[in-house]
Amino acid sequence: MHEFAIAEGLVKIAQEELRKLGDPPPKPLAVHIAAGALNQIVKESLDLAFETLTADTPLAGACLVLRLIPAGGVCAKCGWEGSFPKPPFFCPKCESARVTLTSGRELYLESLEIEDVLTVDQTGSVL
Amino acid sequence: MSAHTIKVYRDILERDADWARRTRELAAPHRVTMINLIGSPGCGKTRLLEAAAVALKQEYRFSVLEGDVETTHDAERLAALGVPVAQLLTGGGCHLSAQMVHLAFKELPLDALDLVVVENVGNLMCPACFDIGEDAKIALLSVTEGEDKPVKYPLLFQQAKAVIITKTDLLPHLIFDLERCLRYIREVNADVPVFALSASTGEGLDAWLAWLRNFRAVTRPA
Ligand SMILES: Nc1nc2c(ncn2[C@@H]2O[C@H](COP(=O)(O)OP(=O)(O)OP(=O)(O)O)[C@@H](O)[C@H]2O)c(=O)[nH]1
Ligand SMILES: [Mg+2]
Ligand SMILES: [Zn+2]
Repeated sequence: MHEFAIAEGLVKIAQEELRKLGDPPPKPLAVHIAAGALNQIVKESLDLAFETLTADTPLAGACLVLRLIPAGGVCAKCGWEGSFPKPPFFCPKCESARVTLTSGRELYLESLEIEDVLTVDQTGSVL
Repeated sequence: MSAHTIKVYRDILERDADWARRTRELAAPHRVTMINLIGSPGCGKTRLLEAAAVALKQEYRFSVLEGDVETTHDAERLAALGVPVAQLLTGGGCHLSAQMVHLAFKELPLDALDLVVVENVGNLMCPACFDIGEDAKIALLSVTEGEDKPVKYPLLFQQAKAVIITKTDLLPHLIFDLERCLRYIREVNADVPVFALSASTGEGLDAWLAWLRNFRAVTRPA
């Protein structure tokens, strides 16, 4: 259940970012994060933690969208570059084990999706 | 309903990274080496520490940060051997956080220590995700758990600076293919040193202790 600790970090920084956008902070429609596959995040667990932790915040009800980044690497022997759906982390081209992992550990808040505020004039029509 | 997107790109674990950095900044001038033992519940982390404590007593001044979900049993076992130990209870948490470790670490008599060993909460997945300011994560896998754990939990074995296969004295009673397990470890971390040992009989223990001595000498040269 590392998902809970990850959700805690996420909620903290997402709230900080929302506060930068206004007072009171806007309520986002969606929170987009990127996560490396090696973190083995269970989305349902992350959703549950996110829901619990955001109950009384502007993030309540926001949709959590996860973009999965596969484990990827570079082969030191033949220069192959690509991703691994699962181990072994060997070069699929030359079978060398001299592969440096270059992705798969990412964990960051990518963006916040905010509903546009419609400004309404005296007559009631949208400006 | 229209919406717009605010780009952020911010590390979700930035606070944890900050605590880990503070721990490293504290450890370096005191020449303290910190290792983080990670493995399943009951894989033999505390038992290995007991064996290492006895073997290294004359050589290193060391202290243990003992992570557990509940109970102080493990801490008591080590204290009985004269090892100064601080208990960190996560109260249900599946891993030690960098902050918990830092707060305990800074209370240690760092000038009087060479080595701090963290026994993380028994878990193959969660502790691997978090940097707690250690110099090395060490993965433990007991022979009763099955050969395929390294490919089921690749992050831990990929991050580990050494892998220890424990309880080898039980091999005659089990169906456990050591060669296959080694192959799986290589599939996620081709160069990692692997030690097969039994803390009960002491077989294989010396090779790991030699690695530890060398790691200490390389990371904190006199
Ligand atoms: N036969 C045998 N048993 C061992 C060995 N090492 C540990 N054990 C036994 O395995 C059980 C668990 O060992 P611990 O050292 O408490 O395991 P742990 O990883 O610290 O467990 P948690 O902290 O609860 O996750 C105990 O009953 C130990 O006596 C070994 O080398 N051989
Ligand atoms: Mg233990
Ligand atoms: Zn190659």
